[in-house]
Amino acid sequence: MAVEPSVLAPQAPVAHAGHGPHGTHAHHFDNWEQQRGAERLGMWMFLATEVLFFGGVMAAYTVYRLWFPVEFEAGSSRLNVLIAGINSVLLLTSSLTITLAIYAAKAGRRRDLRRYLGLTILLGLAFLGFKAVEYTTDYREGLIPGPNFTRDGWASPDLNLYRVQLFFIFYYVMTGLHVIHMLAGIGVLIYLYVRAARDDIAPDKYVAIEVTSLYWHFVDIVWMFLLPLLYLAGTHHGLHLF
Amino acid sequence: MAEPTELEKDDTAAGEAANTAHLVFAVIAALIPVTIAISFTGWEQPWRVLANLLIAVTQASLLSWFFMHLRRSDRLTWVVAAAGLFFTGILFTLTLADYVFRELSPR
Repeated sequence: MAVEPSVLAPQAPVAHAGHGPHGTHAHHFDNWEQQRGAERLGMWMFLATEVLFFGGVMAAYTVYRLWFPVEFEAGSSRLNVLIAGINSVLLLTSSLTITLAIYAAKAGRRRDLRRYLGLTILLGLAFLGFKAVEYTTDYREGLIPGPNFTRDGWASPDLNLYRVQLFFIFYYVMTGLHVIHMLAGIGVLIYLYVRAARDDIAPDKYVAIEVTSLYWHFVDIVWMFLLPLLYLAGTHHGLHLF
Repeated sequence: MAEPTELEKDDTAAGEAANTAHLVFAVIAALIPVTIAISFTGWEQPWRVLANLLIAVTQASLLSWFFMHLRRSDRLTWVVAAAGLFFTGILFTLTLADYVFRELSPR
């Protein structure tokens, strides 16, 4: 017996994939809204674990900073606050461009989508470029924990250098973890850019951009806390790029 | 079934949302030089770190509320976001309760 088409109305749970104007939602969802909601929620749950991941490192940092405030502030004063500030602006701007990319994807403005995704990638790469410059100057100034960490350049002669090195271990671990997260984000953004370039992101699939943006914003938020904790712990007296 | 968000319901909302995004960006960006300038002041600790962290919390709240669309999200998303903060709160409270006060406890 033939089934009336109306029986397979889009809102009814169906055993096969549903058909939208630009493609199909997965078979285990009732409709696009439900699928998009699940995709967002999945990323939020992942981010909740990420908050705890960075929270663990920051809790350890807090304990040692409370124990050794003088040495942590002395170490922080040697960091390059100008590069950190530039990077804050770059990352925040990339948060704006990826948000605009969502709206472009949703409205079907394909050129804008490619442009905003490309800008987000470039801003992320610029951040990493400045970070590389910064790590290089840190190395030249001898700010690497280990046997070559000497008393040169430290104003106070009775500063406990073991504790200062501990600050730098936190600095490299925390910024390093952040850089790894940036690299992962840029990888996903490049994948999305290639899809966008092939016109493979239809307006009803904009949630792919939105879910990626949630992760990208989170990485920005982590940086918003790394800036005060690492770079602004000590006082600064001048700005210099190198 | 998940309710469609405001963003999904209303196509014109995207244009307004873009304007809001620019405004939020401007506010967060303006706070960056402020927080850096605080590190050039001679303020005694803990006021300097508290001022810096207050600015960071403000920036992160604005970013998650507007850019991460928390203000348009359903309650389940709020619960997940709040759970992340809640357990981070437990992590810090119990860790610091030990390390900060262990010197005070009688042996």
